[in-house]
Amino acid sequence: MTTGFSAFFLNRLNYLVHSDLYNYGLRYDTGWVIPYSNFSYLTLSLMGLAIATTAVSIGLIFLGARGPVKIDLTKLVCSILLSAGVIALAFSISSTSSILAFIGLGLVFWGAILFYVRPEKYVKETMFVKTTLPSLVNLEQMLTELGYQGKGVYLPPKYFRDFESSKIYLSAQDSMKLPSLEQIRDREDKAFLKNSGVLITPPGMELLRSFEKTLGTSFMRVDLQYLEQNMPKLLIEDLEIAQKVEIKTENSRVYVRMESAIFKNFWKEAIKLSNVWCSLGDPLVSAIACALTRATGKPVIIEKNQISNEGQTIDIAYRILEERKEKTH
Amino acid sequence: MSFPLTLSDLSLWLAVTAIILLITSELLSPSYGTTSIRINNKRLKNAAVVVSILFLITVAIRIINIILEP
Repeated sequence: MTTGFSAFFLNRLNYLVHSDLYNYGLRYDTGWVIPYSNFSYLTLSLMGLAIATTAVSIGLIFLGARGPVKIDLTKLVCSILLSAGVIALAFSISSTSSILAFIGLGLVFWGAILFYVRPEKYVKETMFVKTTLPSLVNLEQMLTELGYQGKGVYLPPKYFRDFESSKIYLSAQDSMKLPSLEQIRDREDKAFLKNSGVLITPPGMELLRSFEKTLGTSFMRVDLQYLEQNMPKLLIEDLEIAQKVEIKTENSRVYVRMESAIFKNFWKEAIKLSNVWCSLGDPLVSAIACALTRATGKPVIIEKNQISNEGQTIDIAYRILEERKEKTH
Repeated sequence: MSFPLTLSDLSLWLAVTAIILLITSELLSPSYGTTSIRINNKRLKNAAVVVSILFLITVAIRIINIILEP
């Protein structure tokens, strides 16, 4: 603070020497102007150094008082850029220097931009695979031991009292015949249906919610065409899950091809879980199936789920099932 | 003591910055093939658009000044 005031008063003194004193007979001569300017610049520089040292000391005292802290390099760089920019801008105003103003403006701007575009929290891919896979392994063991033969059918919201919920029906027999609405609604919050199969929460349920949140709409309010148009952008640009996504609809089948997805290493492990892989799909495949069943309002199954090029490409074929109309008595 | 930059200077600075930001955000776009740089691309794109709009506003102000000047 005092150093700041000293700098300000020294600046005023310089102004007095270079303007008012000429009215009292002072004559310009390089003999005195050059040493005078050098000394005044040196004094200003030393004052700047004193300010910087004090700021660093205060910072270190604060850090020391808070105990051991991890220094965030990005935050540190941003702070340095911002502070340097503000100082340069202040000096540019006091010395009317446009070059200093440009430098200050640039430093402040890039400091702010760096701070703004800092990444969100990321986890390493290996951690993601290791934490997500065990739940699928458990599911695989459960399905294998139960000996359920049926294909997983993603049920549309109309099967549930809570429209936000989504479930997969897995038949005990090798058939795709669905239980009635009442049967499922009665056992909505349970896992096992009496003598017919099991209801499982899809692995991609939370991912589906994330899709809906990012798009700002519920898939129940959209149609298949909307999904075809918006899903690639959502997966590529918004969520950065894959680098290329193609969605194609042919009659009652929807074909999805994804390239260079972040799940590629996960898929290489998940494909070993044959029941889960073929019937339910991994979280991403499952989330897309949930989106399809919510958008069409019809049950959906995963017909084909195939990876190639070391997991670089995945081809998924979904089939939208036509429901048989129930007889009314 | 006054701010040493004029509207023309600011306009030029905004234009250069906007071009840099727009090109960077486009090159870092996942559809271009780069997803390994860990910055928030969406925010970078937003910043680029905001700076571009600010540049266009300075251009609009200058055009209005030219029209209104006698």
